[in-house]
Parts: sequence; C-alpha cells; structure tokens
Amino acid sequence: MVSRVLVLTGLLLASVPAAAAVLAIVVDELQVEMGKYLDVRIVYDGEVGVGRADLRQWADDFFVDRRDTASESLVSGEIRTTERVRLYPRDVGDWVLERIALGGAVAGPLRVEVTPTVRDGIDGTPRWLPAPQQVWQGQSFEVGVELALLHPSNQIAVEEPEFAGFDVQTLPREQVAGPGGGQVRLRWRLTAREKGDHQIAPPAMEQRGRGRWRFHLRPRAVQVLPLPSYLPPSVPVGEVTLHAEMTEVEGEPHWQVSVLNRGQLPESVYGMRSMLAAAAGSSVDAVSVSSVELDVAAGTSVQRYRVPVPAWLAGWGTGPQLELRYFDADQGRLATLQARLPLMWRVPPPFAYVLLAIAVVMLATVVKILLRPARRWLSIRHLRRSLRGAADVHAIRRLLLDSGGHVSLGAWAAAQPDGAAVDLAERINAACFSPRGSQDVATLREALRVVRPV
Amino acid sequence: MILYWREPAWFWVSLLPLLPMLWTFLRHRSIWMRMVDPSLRPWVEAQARQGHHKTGQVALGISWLLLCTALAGPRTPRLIPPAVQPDAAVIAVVDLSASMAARDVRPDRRRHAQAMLDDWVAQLPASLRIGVVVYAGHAHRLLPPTADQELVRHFVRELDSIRLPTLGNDLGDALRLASESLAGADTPGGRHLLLISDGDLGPDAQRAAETAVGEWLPSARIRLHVVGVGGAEAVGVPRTATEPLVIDGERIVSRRDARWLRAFAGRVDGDYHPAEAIVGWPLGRVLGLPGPHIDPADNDRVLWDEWFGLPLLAGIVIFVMASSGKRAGSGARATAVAALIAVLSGGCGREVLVDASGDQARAALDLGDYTRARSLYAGRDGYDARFAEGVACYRLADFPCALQAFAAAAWQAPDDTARGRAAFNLGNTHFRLGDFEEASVLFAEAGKLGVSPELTAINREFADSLAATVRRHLADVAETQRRADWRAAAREMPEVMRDRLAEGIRLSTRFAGPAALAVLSADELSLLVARGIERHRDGRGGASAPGRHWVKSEGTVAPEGTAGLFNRLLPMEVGILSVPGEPYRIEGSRPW
Repeated sequence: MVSRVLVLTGLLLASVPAAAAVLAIVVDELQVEMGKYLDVRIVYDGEVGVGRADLRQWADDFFVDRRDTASESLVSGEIRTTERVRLYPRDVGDWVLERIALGGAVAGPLRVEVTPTVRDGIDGTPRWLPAPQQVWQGQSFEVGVELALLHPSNQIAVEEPEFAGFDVQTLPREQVAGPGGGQVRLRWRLTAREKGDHQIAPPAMEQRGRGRWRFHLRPRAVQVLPLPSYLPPSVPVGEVTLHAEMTEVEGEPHWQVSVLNRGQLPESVYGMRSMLAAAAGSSVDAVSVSSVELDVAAGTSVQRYRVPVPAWLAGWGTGPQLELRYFDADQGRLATLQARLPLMWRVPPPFAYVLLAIAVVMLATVVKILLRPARRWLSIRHLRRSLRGAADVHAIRRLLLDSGGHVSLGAWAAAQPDGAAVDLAERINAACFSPRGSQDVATLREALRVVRPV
Repeated sequence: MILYWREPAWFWVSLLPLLPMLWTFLRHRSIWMRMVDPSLRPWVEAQARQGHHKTGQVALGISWLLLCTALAGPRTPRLIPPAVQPDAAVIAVVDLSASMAARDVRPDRRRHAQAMLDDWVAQLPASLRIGVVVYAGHAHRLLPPTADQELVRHFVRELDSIRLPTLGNDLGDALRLASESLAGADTPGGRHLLLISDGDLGPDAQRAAETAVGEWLPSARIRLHVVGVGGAEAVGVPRTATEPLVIDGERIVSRRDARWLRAFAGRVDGDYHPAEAIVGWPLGRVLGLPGPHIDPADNDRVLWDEWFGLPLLAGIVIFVMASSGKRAGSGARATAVAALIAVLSGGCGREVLVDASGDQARAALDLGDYTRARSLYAGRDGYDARFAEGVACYRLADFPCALQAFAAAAWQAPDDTARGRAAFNLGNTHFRLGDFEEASVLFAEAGKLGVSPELTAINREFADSLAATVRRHLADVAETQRRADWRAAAREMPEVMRDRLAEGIRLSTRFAGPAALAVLSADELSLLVARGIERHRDGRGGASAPGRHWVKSEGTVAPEGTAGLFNRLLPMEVGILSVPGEPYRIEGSRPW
C-alpha cells in the first residue's frame, strides 16, 4: 500500500529539451479500490497556457471525470496549468495509465492496481450478468449487473441509463437474499436500433450507506446484425404469437386480432391491416389499430387490431385465415404465423326479421301437414283401445257405428278398405241380433285388431 | 364515355315490323270470326298455335333491332376540338416530400404520381388548361395553367429530377399558391385543384393544410380532387437508392393516410380517389368534368370512333341462325358468314392489343437484351417477374434497381427455395454496392433456405473478409488520427505558430476574457486554424469574401435542362442563396 505518497512522474523529462515545457501526472496513491477514484492532477509548466490533455487512451480502463482547470503564473515567468481529474476504475486488476502529451511535453506511464470492493468478507464489486454478444437489429434482449450490498442498510442508486444505438427499458430490480445486504440485480431490456458494433456501458451506480462507492463498469461489445434488407421495417422481430377472437365494441361484433411479441412491435405490423380488411370485406380504414401496450415485467408488447364483422356471415366451416410474417430472431430467418378468425351467424336485422317470418310460415305449414295424420293416428289408437276394452259385442257394434257416424254395420263395412270387414260386420250383427249368435267376444276383438275409423 | 349516334332517326325503322304484325293479327282475327263460333275459338286457336315457332320470331326481332342500331351509327368522340367544349383550369399539386420516395408502388410514389400525370396530360382535352405546383418544406409554382400539352408534358417529365431545397410537408402553402394561380383564370368550365399526395404529412402540417383548404378554396370556387398515392401498409422511406432514411436512429416508415386524405377532401366537398382505383381514367373523369355536348352542327369537327360494326355483326349472326332454324350446321355457317362480314367490313376500326410480353421478356433475357427484358418485366407482377427484373438490372450493373427487384422477389417468394435464390442474389447486389455486412447476412439466410452451402459459404467468407478489412481500415484511420494528435501534442510548438497563437489570443476578448482560451489546448487551436484554412480553400467561407474573381475557363458543362434550372432557382425562392447538396430541414417541421 502506498499511502499519501506524492508520486511525481518526471520520468519523461529527460525526453524533452531542458528549456521545454514540463508535464507531470500527480497522484496520491497508485492503488485504488473499485468504486473509489484516483485523484489525478495533470500539471503543465510552460511559457504559455494550454488546454486540456487528451486522455482518450485512459478511457478504456478508467472512467475519466474531468474536474476543474486552473492557471497560475510562476516566478520564472512560466504559466502553470493544473487540471484535476478523477479516474474511476472499470475493472479489478493491474492497469496502466498510458503516456499523455500536452503542449510539447510528455508524461507517464503509471501502473495502477485496482482492488475489489470487499467489506467484512463481502465482495461488492459489480459484475455483468450474462448477455448475448450478437443480436439482430430490432431484437430485444436483457443486460444486467449484479452487485452485493456491503451492509443491510446500504442502498443502490443508478443514473439514467443511456445505451447509444439501443432503446432502453429499465426493468424492476431484483433483490436476492445473501450475506450482508444480499445481492441486487439491475436489469435493462435493450432493443437494438442501429446495426454495427456497439459498446454498451451500464449507467453509473452508487452504493451508499456505510460508505460510498461509485461504479463505472467496462463496456461490453455487442454486435448488431442487420436484418435481411428485403424485410419491410414494420415486420416484427422476435418471438411473435397471434391470437384471433370475437369481441363486441359498442354492441357491434368485431374481429379482434392480438399480436404479441417478446420485444418491440412497430406502429402497425406489415400486412395485418390489409388482411383483416380483406377478410371483413371492408376498407383498410375500417381497421382500427391500438397503440402498442408494453408489459415491462414480462418484456412483451401487445397490439390489437379490430374490424367490424361483415353484415352477412355464416357460422359454419372455417373462418378466414390470417397470415403474419415476422423475423424469428432465434432462427435468424423469416417465419410465418397463421390464425383463423372465429365465425358466427350474422344477418342484417331486416333480413333477420324476414327470415324469421319465413321460418314461422314454414313451421306452421309443417304443423298443418303433420296435424291431420296425427289426429288420424290418435283416433285409430283410441278406437282400438276402446274395442279392446269393450264389455260385449253390443258395445263393439256401438263403437264401430260411432267411429264414423255410420247408420249400420253394413255402411261401416262398405267404408272399410279391407273386404274382410263385410264378413266381420255380419258376424257382429249375428252375435248381436241372431238368437243363435254365440260369437266369442275375444275372437271378434282379435279380428278387429287392425280396424280403422272411417 | 358518352355514346353518340350518327343517324338516330334510324331507330324509328325498328318499329316497322310492328305494322305487318298488326296487319297479320287483324287479318287472322277476321278469318277466325268468319270460320269459328266465338265460344269455340279458344280451343281452335290453341290447336292452331302449336305449329308456330316463337323463338325464331323473337330472334328475328332482336336481329332487326341490332341492324337498326348499326344503321343509327353508334360512336364515341376520340378528339373534341376546343371550340366544342367549355374551358376549364386545373392545378396539379404534387407532393415531393421525402415520404414520396417510398417504394410501396412501382417504381416509387413520386414516379408513380409522375406517370399518372403524364398519362393524363397525354390525353388532355384541349379545353383543359393545367398547371403544376410542387411542395415539400415550401411550395413552388412550376407552371401556371396552360393548354400547351407539350409544355405540360415536358414539365411533368422533369418532376423526377427536381430537388426541392427544403424538407417538410407545407401543403397549406401549396394550396395558397395553387388557388392564387387559379384565381386569375377565366374558366367557364370551372377551376379544379388536383392534389396528388400520400397524405403522410404529420399532425402539424395536416392541421395547417386543413385550415388552408377552408380559407383558400371555397372563396375562389375551386373544386378539390385528391388522389392518394401509396400503399396501406407502412414501408420504409429510402434516403437514397440504396440507403434507408434514418432520423435519430429511427428508420422512418410511411404509409398512405387514406382516412385523412378522404376527410381532407370532404372538408370542402371535394372527392378522394385512391390511385389504384382510377387506373385508366381520363383526367376529365377524375375531375368530374361533364361530358362535352356536341352539337350536330359540330359533328364534322370531331374525330370519332365508330362502333356500328358490333351491332351489325351480332344482328347478322342472329339473323342467319334464326332463318336456318334447327338445321344441322347452321351455327357454323352463321359464324363463317359473320367472320366474312367482319373481314370485309374491317371490323369497327378498333385496335386490339395482344399481350405476349411474357414470352418476349423471357426471350429478351435469354438473348442478353437486358434493357428490353427489364422494361418488359417491370410491367408485370409476381415473384418470377421481380426475380427476372433483378437479374436484368444486375447484368446491366444497375444495382439500385437490382436491389429493389430482388428484395421484392424475396418478400413475394412462394416458398423457401425461391426466397433463398432471391436472397442470394440480393446478397450479391449488396456486395457489389459495398454493403458487406448485409451481404453476409443474406448469404447466410440463403444457405438456410436451400441454396448450395458451398456457394453461400464462399460468398459469405468473401463478404466477411471484406467487411473486416473495411472495419480494420476505419480503425487504422482512427488510430492514426489519435497518434497524430498525440505526436502533435508531444512536439514543441514552432515559433511561427506561437506568433499566430499570440495573435489569436486577442480573440479571447470575444469569449469574455482570457479564461475562455485557457481551456483550449494548442492542438485545439491548431485544429481550429486548420479548419478555417480548409473552409477558406473550399470556398465555404462566404460569398462576400473580398477579391474573388471569376476565372474564364475553356471547359464546357452539359446543359442541365429545366430540372437543373429549377434546382438552382427554387432555393433562391426560399432565400437560400446557394444550391444545397442536401435539402435543408426546417426547424419544428417533420423532415419527411
């Protein structure tokens, strides 16, 4: 540990002429903990004042926080320009502050040791969660950082995230129980907007409470592949599902198609409006498109398309088919989804009334047609039952005469289609009126089994 | 199209058969009355009628009617001289905003609008005067209303080359300009404003246009007709032939806003037509102009299309069939007679076009006549046509055209194999345009879709290699720049430079004290000086720089044509004194 040691790096003074300007990098320590910063002063002594040094070569390993710049005139007539810079390490390890040059002078390099943030055996150094290194343009994916709270009372504060070339959604942070204050996972859902090679860096994070640490992690490389150029921009990218249903809007039945994507959806999915309009036989303007609803927690987007159901629709068979094309980011190719619109019976009200009237007339006709044979069948059934229950032959004769209002059994027999009825009538007459008549009633009943009222 | 008659009096002749029919009826009636008791007549007449052939009589009647129609001489006007119809004026207001470059109609919205106008002007009635106003960020009047068809056609054909100096959608200003152009026109036939746009203006411009249309058109008694160009689905707006328009990282998409266009036309009782619904319509029909009333005295001044041949032919065929009865071969004879008559009479002088473009296009492609093949395939739809068009464009090294055609083919492909072929060729096109990352992606997809893995692997490897080379080159440039900056900062400032800087320090008073300069490094100052020198050398330092002279040159430049002239003049109209390389964005206005 180097403590409070003024390290003046005049090592490179030998490389410049004696009368030339002098540049120095002044630091208090050469060791720093993750979350803390190196307080660096860049001191330039020269005949004229200078601006700021170019510190781009430090930016890979350290986040450079430029503070103030001050100039003063020295007794020698030179001007001293001092700039204060805070360097936040991006990762644990040994790093080198590369040589810098300013106004004809050169200073550095310096070796700096960065140690992890450990308290009470808890390592509070933030770490990237696993994330894809190659994604498709338009694809959504999650990135995250995990860090341990060094004390239960500590809090994590995060700056507003900015990922150049990506759309960002901040996801709810997760707290995982563990030693100390447990682990905190900070996550963001990114949607790649611009193709090419990108460096994504999480926003600055601060752990506050028992101590204060500010973390600037090293950016990660993400390659964003361009989508095949033949895809219209409004083709969704990701993992899309399609659902069709019937719904009512202000009392009118509508077809509603929901497009759900694990990722973003365009303002209007390519082809959906036209297909729905064609299925409903209406114009494209009749299709209403809802705004995209985001479910941040689930990482999904939903959009609903509605169109009034056609005035005439038959409820049988299969409904019109919808086809949605999307770019499957997992497969890396165009994919197609299909869904069928549900059916229902639908007829315009005036026509419905006409159809109802026709149905009533048809029903009445059918009833009228069926009523006559039904009555006939009932009367036959009633006569036969009465004949079976008749006490004697006189009762049988009376029933036969009453069945058709006949004056005699001869008239009854003449009305019967069966020629055997004449013989039967004679036998009944004989049984009723002949002194020799001793016809068996059971035999007569058997003979009258198929009799019909005429 | 109104039908006229050469000799309408011949229709009276069609009534002639009624006279013999009446005479026959009366004669039969008197005979029956003499021969049969009235109470027995129904039975006797019914028996007698069974021998008659009613169908034959009806056919003869129809034949007679058709022949009388032919004698009356049906015809339609092909060319009506100006003196025969009233004068009308129309201003075509054409949207030339960036969204009109979208390619959801072929070849794109802007050129589709141009082609529509060109067709209309080609068959423009001489009584109709037409002018042209274009707009994007500002509106410009290209042509006041004129009846000179050739002049209008010339301006319409230049539309594609005209580059407006500003971006945006100032339709309101265009309506003002158009109504002012029409205000002075003395037109008994009416004043019309024909707006050709995709309606994709943005909310602010739409509101401004809605205000303007109510303010300018009704008072000038101008009737509004709106023609919507574009598709119902959102498509990408291209910035160039090969690059999409991307603003603030967002790829800009556009679709025809038919709902707004219809509502917009409805605000002043105008009418709205989707472009695809009025294909083949003459301009007079689009504008709802009444058909010209041709006085019989003017018949000789009109050029007619005669249509008497059609009823004549039909009449003869029906007559022959009816007179032949049910004899075998009567139909064939009738057809032969009709054909003979058609040949002898020369039909009705109507030109018949035979569409055999498919075979011709294929033959042209096979024979290597790619220009002709491209032209023929461009007029056809479907995957095969787009693919063949792409091949023709690629062979002609017209890569933007090939890009569009292969992309359309890949999207319209009926199956994966076809899509793979289109994607592979699309990859080749991107490769030739230097877009190696896109080419690599397409080669990979083509491999998944059934194109030979060896072929796609070779091409992909080549594309990846070149993409890596480009990246390395760009990285080298950046690294070289960084090292140069470092070396410049590490070197002692030359004395002469210090003098310059000393002079420069005096400028610090402009930045409220020396502190402003203290934050500028020597490198930054030297960079500023270098930029100043560069700016001066490029002549971008301002036209007011003293001592500038025009140097006489022996070199000649090709004439720029009307569009080139307008491209120089239109910026001046809006106060831009130089010709901008790219159109200017207007603060607060949507740039597409």
